[in-house]
Amino acid sequence: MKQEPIIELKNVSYAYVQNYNVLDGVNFRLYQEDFLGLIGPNGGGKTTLLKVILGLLKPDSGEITVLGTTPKGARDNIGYVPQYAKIDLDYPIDAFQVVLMGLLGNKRLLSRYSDKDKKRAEAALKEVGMAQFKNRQIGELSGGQRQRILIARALVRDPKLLILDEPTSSVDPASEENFFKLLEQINKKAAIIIVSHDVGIISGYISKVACMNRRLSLHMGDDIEGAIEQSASTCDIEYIGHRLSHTSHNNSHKHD
Amino acid sequence: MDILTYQFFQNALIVGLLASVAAGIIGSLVVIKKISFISGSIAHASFGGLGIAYFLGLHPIIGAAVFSVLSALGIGWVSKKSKTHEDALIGALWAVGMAVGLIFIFLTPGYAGDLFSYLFGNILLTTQQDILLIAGLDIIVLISVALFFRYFLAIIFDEDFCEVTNIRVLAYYLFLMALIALTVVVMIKVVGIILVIALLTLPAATARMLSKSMRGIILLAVLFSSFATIAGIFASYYLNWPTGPVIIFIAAALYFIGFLIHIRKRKLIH
Repeated sequence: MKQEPIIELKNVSYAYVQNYNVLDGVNFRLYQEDFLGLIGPNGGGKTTLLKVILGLLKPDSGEITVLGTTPKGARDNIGYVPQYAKIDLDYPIDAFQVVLMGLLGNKRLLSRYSDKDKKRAEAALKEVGMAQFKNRQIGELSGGQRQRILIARALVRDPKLLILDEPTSSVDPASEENFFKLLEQINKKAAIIIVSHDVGIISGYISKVACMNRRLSLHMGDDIEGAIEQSASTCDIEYIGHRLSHTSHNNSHKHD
Repeated sequence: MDILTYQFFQNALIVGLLASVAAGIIGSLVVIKKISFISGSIAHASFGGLGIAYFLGLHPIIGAAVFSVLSALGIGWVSKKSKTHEDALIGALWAVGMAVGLIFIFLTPGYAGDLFSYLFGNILLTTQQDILLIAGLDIIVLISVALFFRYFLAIIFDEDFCEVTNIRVLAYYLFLMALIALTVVVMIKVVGIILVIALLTLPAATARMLSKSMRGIILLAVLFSSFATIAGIFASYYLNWPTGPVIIFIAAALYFIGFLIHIRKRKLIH
């Protein structure tokens, strides 16, 4: 079955400082059913790539299409969960208001949130299993709960593409499995890109892995463990098998 | 309480209350956005406008308002565009504004008798005209915050997310900066340029320790800054001390009490 990609990057380059490309001729396609793990060393360009896809940065050269249009034009259909570390944990706001924030950009200036908006926000909270924490201040929630609120804020927009930047750092190991179960649910209706430096955690759930180290190498296929292992070697990061006791046969893995 | 029958004292109380409302609201946003030093810089920069207005024979508050809004927009723009220059520029603007103000006051013929009152405030010298100007600025600040409150709250919480949902983050941020500048000007009459930053942030910081919701923080901040201002005016009158510093001292005392309550509460929880 041949599908149109929902994201397509052709030869995209970006440099913060002239002549030092953080993205160097990146080619990349993402399809509707994909659950992509984006890994790579610090400074390798993971966040830069996301910013280009989100239209926060304009590439110096190359072409980029997101959901059939420009990155900025596609924003209405993108759900974004920013890096958790940037969130002020003590911010005086409750969970419901955070989720409603997802709809603020769609509102006409000065118009109030409608009953429909509130219903949508409640539905998003329910979807991530946080309905009962609606009126809690975010400072009173655990790391994993707060992360779910941020996902609800992205989901309230009914995105076709969900982008999560380092979401696993705040999720404790006990709730990790539930967290990824939730993402698998979401993946039924939206493509997912998840950035992580911790390959071990995500390996059991993703269907594709891409390694971003100035250039991007994409691996996919049935043998995701093998693909990750290969990515890890191109990516210059250490990968320790998470679920399988994978003995070393570095050159024999399938990948198409 | 004979003192209440005097016009100058009534004026002082009115201006104090008007300024406290703006200070409590904008101060709360400054505190949660953690931009006290940007606000301090804007306050000191306004002295430049004050000096220029003095030189040109205009009302000093108008000069201060124009100059501090322009400085605020400049600093806001730079802080969003270039993180590397932000810190140095905040410091530079702080001093350059003062320098510009002093040069123009020096160039103005005659004795600059009320210079000191702009630096440290002299609320007991409030005129009818001051009240009208400050009330006008107050109304601008109040209406703006009431209309754009959700946007301010959203961009302070998470700029990246707002940008990605097509909220015009830079425009709102610059607007907030301009409101901070206007608020600072409103407060100059009360506590003076040098002490503004304390009255802007102390009541809001106190409120933040005692309330978890933004509404609660703003209400308490307005309450605390009104109390500090009114109590400060009375205390300074009876003690015959300068008003601005007494107001700041009371605001600091409130903060200290709030801090004690805050740690006590935390101990009870943990």
